Amino acid sequence: MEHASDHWSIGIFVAVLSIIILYKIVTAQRGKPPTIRRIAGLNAIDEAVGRATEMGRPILMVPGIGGLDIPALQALNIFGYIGRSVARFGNRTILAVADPQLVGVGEEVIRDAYTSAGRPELFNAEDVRFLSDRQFAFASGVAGVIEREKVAASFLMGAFFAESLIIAEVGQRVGAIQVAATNQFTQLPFFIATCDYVLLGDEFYAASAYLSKNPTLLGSIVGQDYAKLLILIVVILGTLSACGVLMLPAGHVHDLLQRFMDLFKS
Amino acid sequence: MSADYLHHLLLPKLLLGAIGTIAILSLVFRENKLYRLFEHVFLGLATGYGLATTWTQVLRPKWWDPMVGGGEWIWILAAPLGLMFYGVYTKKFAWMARLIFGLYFGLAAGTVFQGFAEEYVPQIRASFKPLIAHGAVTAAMAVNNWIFVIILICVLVYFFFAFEQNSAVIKRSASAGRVMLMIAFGAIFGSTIMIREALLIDRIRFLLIEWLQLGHIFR
Repeated sequence: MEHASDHWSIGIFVAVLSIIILYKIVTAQRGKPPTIRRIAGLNAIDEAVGRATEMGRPILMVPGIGGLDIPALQALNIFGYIGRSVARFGNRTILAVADPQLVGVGEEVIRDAYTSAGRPELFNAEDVRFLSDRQFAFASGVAGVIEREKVAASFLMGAFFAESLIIAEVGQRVGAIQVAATNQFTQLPFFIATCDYVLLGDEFYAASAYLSKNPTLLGSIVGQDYAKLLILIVVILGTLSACGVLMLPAGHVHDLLQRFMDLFKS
Repeated sequence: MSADYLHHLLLPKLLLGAIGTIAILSLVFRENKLYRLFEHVFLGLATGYGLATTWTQVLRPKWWDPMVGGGEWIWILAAPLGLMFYGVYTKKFAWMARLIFGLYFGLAAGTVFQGFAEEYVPQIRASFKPLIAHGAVTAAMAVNNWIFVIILICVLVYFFFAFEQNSAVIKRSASAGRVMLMIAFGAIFGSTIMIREALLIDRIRFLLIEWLQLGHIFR
């Protein structure tokens, strides 16, 4: 197992990136919250909620199968926003979870959404369902819920793995408008093939920050952008160094460029 | 149909496996009572299995045995910590759950730093590629490296959120990045579908060859 401390240069690099993000979070909390560009897929959320209300059918939300992790929390953050919208229209929300720890947290998020929309009486604890913590059992459970409840919209956000296609395909078959977001690069193709809108990779986290308007999350997204910019600069410098090492004869400059590249060697 | 063959077809292990497979696959046509029954059986079995493996693979070897068998009674402290998670179900003890959830998130956030160093720094290092054909680097390799670097920059630009994509260069780079991503997703889709087909083939093989013993037809 590799630790950042095994290579001091990597440790410093990770620390610098962290400081940039922390600095942006702190400045966002103290000053005016930063703005981030709107993501196209977000328009689909209101569209899906509106359509479900017109059809009088419930909305399904699935925060992935990753357990109580960062993607699941980001998903619940977005679900809170969607839940308020659903509650305002007096519609029903079903939350299917694969981790027992998420039952309590999810229940609180959905209850809060209905309460803050002024419709606490519409919240039904039975609609927050723990199906299974086994991947394919969970997939078959969600497929059953989609088919029986004939959900009009389904939001699949969080960490998904091989079950992504099973769930999204059933949703497509019942004619549900589907919005998906995952940090799992390998599952994005399946969501793209079966869902109406997909938030790609980091867009998922940006969407959570954009919808919640939470200064901490917004600051974090802006900080991450600066961190990406730094990585981009490092990649360009590294590429130029690789060219220099290849072309230049042995000497001080050659050694300097090689040393720069070795800073990132693990 | 011989008595042996009939006996084989009705072997409980095989028969249940076959009915379960057919029931779950029947969702492809429509939701039905058989699917619903096996869905709930599947969910029930999975929950029971999960409970059993939590005890046999986690709690017993990592907590109970060291404590009771090995005399490491310090592990008893893990019990109240674990029980604190259940505080979420009562208003009175909800603060306990918040405490343990906070600790849990802190631990999870800490591991992200290590994860970054392990996962992304090697990727950054691997992206230092020479762009000029010289010495061991052939012209084809240089072209390949150019493609790699251009795609990397375009995709990174696509994922900038704090900056408005007003400039034509940035806008086009981001669009190109999106197109490149879609091409990559297409490739992943194709290769993963093949793996999924292998899973389906395995189930069909079970039904036709293991259960119905029709292997001779396919030889």
